[in-house]
Amino acid sequence: MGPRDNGFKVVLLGEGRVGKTSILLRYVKGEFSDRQVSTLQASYLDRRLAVQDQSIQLSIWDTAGQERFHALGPIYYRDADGALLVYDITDYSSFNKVTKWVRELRQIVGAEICITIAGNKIDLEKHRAVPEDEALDYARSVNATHVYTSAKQNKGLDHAFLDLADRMCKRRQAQRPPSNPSRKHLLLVDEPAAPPKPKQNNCC
Amino acid sequence: MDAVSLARRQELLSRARRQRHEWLEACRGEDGLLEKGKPTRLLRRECELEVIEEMSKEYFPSGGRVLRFLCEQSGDDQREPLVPLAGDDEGVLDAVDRKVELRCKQLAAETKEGETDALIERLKHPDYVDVVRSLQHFVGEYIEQTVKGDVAVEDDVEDDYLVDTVENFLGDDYEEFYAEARRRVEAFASQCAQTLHKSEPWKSSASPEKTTDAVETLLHRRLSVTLFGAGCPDAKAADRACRRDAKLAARLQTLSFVDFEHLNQPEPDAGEWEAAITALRYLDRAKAPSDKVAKLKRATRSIASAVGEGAPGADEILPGFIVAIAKANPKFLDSTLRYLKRFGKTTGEDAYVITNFMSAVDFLLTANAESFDMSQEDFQNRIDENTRRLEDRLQPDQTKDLVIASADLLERERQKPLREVSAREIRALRLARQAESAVILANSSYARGAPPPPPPPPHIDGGNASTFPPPPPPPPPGTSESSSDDAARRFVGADPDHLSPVAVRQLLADYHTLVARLDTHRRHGTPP
Repeated sequence: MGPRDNGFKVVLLGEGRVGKTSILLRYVKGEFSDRQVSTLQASYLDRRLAVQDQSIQLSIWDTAGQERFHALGPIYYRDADGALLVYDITDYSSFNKVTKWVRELRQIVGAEICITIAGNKIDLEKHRAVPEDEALDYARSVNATHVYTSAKQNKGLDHAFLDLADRMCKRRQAQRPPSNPSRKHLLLVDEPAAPPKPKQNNCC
Repeated sequence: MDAVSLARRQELLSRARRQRHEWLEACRGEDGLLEKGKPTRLLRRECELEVIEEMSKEYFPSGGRVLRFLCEQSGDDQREPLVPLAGDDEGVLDAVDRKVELRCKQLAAETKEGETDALIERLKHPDYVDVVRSLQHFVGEYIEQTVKGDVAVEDDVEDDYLVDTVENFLGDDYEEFYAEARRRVEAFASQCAQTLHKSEPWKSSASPEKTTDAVETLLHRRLSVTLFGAGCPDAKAADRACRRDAKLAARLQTLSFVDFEHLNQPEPDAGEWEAAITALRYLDRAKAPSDKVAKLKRATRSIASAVGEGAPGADEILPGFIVAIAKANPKFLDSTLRYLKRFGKTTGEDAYVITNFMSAVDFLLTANAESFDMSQEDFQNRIDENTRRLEDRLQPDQTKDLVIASADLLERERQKPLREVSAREIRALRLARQAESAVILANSSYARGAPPPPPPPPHIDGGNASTFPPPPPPPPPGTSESSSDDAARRFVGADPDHLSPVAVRQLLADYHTLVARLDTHRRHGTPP
């Protein structure tokens, strides 16, 4: 029972301080600020997008990136359609962590999940610690898309999500047989039988 | 004749309308903290406890918890305020008032005029008599259908939470039953919504999906008696649900030491943090799944603003959630998780909030020393210590005996009906503030080694009894001062986690001794 037909769930994975929250906030509000009104919106967001002539709904789930919460991952990404894995280009260990998540996602969710790897903080290019070739080669090797983003400068975010949405749409179309049996039909057929009310019929 | 039958008809109609309205009103999802925007006694009590806790932190570290504990022991009755309306308590009263006001604002800001409330109002219109009747029929039939059978209870079902994770333990034993319930409620709600939207006066209003959600919420509020926790489907399940809840509560109790430092997070902002704890503590009062989720959202928002500089994301919110759950230890937690899994939404923000809640509990269930940055030894010690405390603690069925026993001790009278005893206990608790002042007084006197204040008069007359309803037992002559010092010492040293039934009896007695002593000082105008 995944999301609705036009709904897609995307989990946001990344070590603490790689800028997941900033990406989320920047993406939803188009602004980068450390003084935001705190709501659920810093950890979850709904966003409508137009992809391939249809309107789709992205639900983006932030997850806690600390190592101690690592084991909780599957609870969040189990039925996800896509994952955005974020690393900090100035921090090699955060890239290592991404590779760990990719292995896990492929193992637990399988090949269906669309993965985008995002090298964040591209505004700090001069402090880069993750070699570009390595990141791109790795992404290719695990069938993931690689993008660069800067939450601070609002670079690459729209593209990253749009591209991910596009791939998720295509995947879902490929998976689903053309016939589209909606659950609602089943329910309506089911319903009249459910409340056993007319007893008089049996009497006579 | 015609006039008579017309009048009769009128009367029947108005009675039917009254009953219909009553039924609809009972579908409101009051959580017991706010009622039509006004604070309830429960909320006030909660604020009182918090204020007392804050004020007595210095000299009576477990004060708030002892009071909370005593309140629980004397039954869940919030009719009497804890803080008496005595002149010199104005500071406390002000603090409580301020807190109540603040909390009301927080709650009101987050309780949107609910779709379901709007639905309830509209359904009162005579046009929807049939709809209301079919709702009543559905609910009535459902509850009747699921009468608890006398199934023999098996003893061999043991769920070991200490090794299990949420994922595993939620593997559902009555999956079919609840899936069917969910389907039926959803189908019926969407049918109702469709009917409503066909009617003329409804047209302009909210989307059919919103109406469906509102009807679903309304139905669940009525059906939770059979669909939540120990309600259903048979005695075996009910028994199992009770035991699971108790077990999970016990497990969380052993982890009550968990704090922000253990998750490498800074301390939160106190005001918002308390609001989060309150929301979680009264999670069981929200009936429908959507009501519970609304409370979880409220808790999440409060946690977010308590822990966050700037905009906290999951990195900060999840640890906050974990600590909050460990501290609040919500009642019927296991049942709540199952209920949300069975009937909660599977998409959107609701699903995210439910998942956060589950993973926080999961973390607590599977946590080890490493999860809390503790040494294995340290961790085990804390667990063992809390387990020992837990074993010392009262069993629920002892509570009744305890209330009777303590009343016996206080009043030196036997065989009072329980109801009356409980009311008297509450009145006693109302004097908590005085008791506290007495504690301060006693504390200062033996801390400074000051001479004991003048002895109290040996009897308490009727005039005072009306000011302070429960006449405190007169201290035995000759031993009054030293025994009340002992009482003060015991009271100050009390920690609810260490209380045995005997100790509670002692505590209640001490408490009254202290109240009596303070009373005496007041009357004699002795400066504390």
